[in-house]
Amino acid sequence: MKKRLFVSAVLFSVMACVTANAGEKSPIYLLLSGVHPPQTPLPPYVRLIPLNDTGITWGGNYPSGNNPTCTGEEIGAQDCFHGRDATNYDDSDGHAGFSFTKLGDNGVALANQAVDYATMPWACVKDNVTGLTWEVKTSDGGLHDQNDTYTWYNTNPATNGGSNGEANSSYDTCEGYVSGNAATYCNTEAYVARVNAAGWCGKSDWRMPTLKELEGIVSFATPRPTIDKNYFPNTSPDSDVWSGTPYAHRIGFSEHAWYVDFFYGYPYHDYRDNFYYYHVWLVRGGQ
Amino acid sequence: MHRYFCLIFCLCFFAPLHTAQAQFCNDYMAASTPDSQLADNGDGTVTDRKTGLMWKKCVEGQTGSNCENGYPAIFSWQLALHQPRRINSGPGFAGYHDWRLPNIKELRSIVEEKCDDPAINLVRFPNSTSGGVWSGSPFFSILNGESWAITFLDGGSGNLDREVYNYFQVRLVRGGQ
Repeated sequence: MKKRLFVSAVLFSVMACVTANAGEKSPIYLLLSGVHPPQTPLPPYVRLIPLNDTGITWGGNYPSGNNPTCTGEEIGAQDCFHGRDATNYDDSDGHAGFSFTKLGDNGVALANQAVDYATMPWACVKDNVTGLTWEVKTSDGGLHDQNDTYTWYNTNPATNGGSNGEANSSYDTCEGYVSGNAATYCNTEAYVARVNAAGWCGKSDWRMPTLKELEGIVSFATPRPTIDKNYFPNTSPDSDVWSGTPYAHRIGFSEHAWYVDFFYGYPYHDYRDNFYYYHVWLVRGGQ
Repeated sequence: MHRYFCLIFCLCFFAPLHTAQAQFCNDYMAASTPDSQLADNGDGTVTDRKTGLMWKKCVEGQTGSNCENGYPAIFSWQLALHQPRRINSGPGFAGYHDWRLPNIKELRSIVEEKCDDPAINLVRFPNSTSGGVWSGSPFFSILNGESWAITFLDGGSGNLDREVYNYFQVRLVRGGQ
C-alpha cells in the first residue's frame, strides 16, 4: 500500500512544485484569506534554547570526497570545525556533541546511565543541550509501540494551518483502536491526549514536536536511521515521523504537514489525510 | 523510495528561477521566528534571542539597511566555504572577524515555518529571496559529492551536488556553541 501511495505522492509533488512556481495565487487562496484567523499573542519573553549540533564530524572536499577526520576544503568554514561536536566531543552521553540522559518511567534519571535497553529499559530521554524531553518508543505492543502509525490531526485553529487534517475513524493502525470511539482513533491529537491521560515519565504535558525540534535530534552521523540508537533504541531504519508543523502553503501543497524521514534526516511533507500514516515521537518542555 | 526524494527536491530547488511574487504567510500557524525573537542590532546584524546566534541581516551580495542594494551573490559550495575568510581576513563585518557558514540546523533555525516564498521573516531579513542557501555541512559519505542546503521557497532542505548547484546563496552567522 505504501508504495502505491508514494508513487502518487511523487506525481503530486512534481505537480505541486510546478503549481507553487506558477507565479500567481489561486482564487481559492483569496477566498481563504478573507477569513479572520485567531490572533496569536506574542510570547512575553524568549528563552535561550541552544541548538543541537549535527553529528557531522567529517570534512568535505571539493568537488567530491569526504574525510573521516575534520579536514578538507577550507575546513575552518565547515560544520565539523565548529560547535559541540568539536568543543564537547564525548560519546559517553550520546554521539559527539549530543548529551542525553535516560529517564525511567517515573521520570527519574537512571542511576546507571551506561545500562543497555534490554537490561533496564528507559521510557524517556532528556536532551541536555536543548532541555527537551523525548518519548522513547517501546516494542511491547502497548500505547507507545514503535510500529504504531497515525494520521496528522489538529483541531486548534491557531496552530493547524487552517484545517484539521484527518481524524482517521476507520483504520486500526495503533494500539487500543475501537471502532466508533473517537478517543481511540489513530491520529496525532488523540494520541497526545491518550498519553497525557495516562501520564508518561511522570508528566502529562506531552505535545507534538515542531519540525525544528524533530530535526534537532537528527544525528547525520548515522544514516538509516539518523538518530542515536543507543538512546532511541526502538527506531526502524526508515522511520517517517510526523511533526506538529503544518506546511504553510495551502494551494500547491494544500493541507500538508512536515515530517522527518530518518533514513537520511530529510524534512519532507505529505497530505494530512487518510492516506498518510506516520510514526509519532512526543516531546515536552522548551518553548 | 528514497532515491526519488532528491528528484523531487531538486525540482523544487529550481524555483528561484521563477519571477518574484509576494510572500504568503499562513495566519493559522504560530510564527516560528517572531519579530520579538529576532533583534535587529542596527549594524547590519540580527541576533536570534532563542538560539543565541548572530546573523548577517543580508545575504552576501546585498547591502544597505534594508538589503536593498545589489543582488544575492551566487556560489558553488567551494566558493561558499571561502566567503567567510574574505570577510574575516579583510575589514570584518560589524566589528567581528569570526563569521562562518551556518551548519544545516543553524540555517534551519531561521526558517519561518508559517510563510513561504520566501520562508523567512522579511521584517528582520528584508529583501530575502526564495533561493537555495548553502550550509557548511557535507552530506553523509556514501553520496560524498553533496552538501546540505535549504531552499527558502518553503524551508525544505536536502543534499545537493557541491559543484552543480553553483547558484546558491550564503548567509553568514557567528556565535553559538
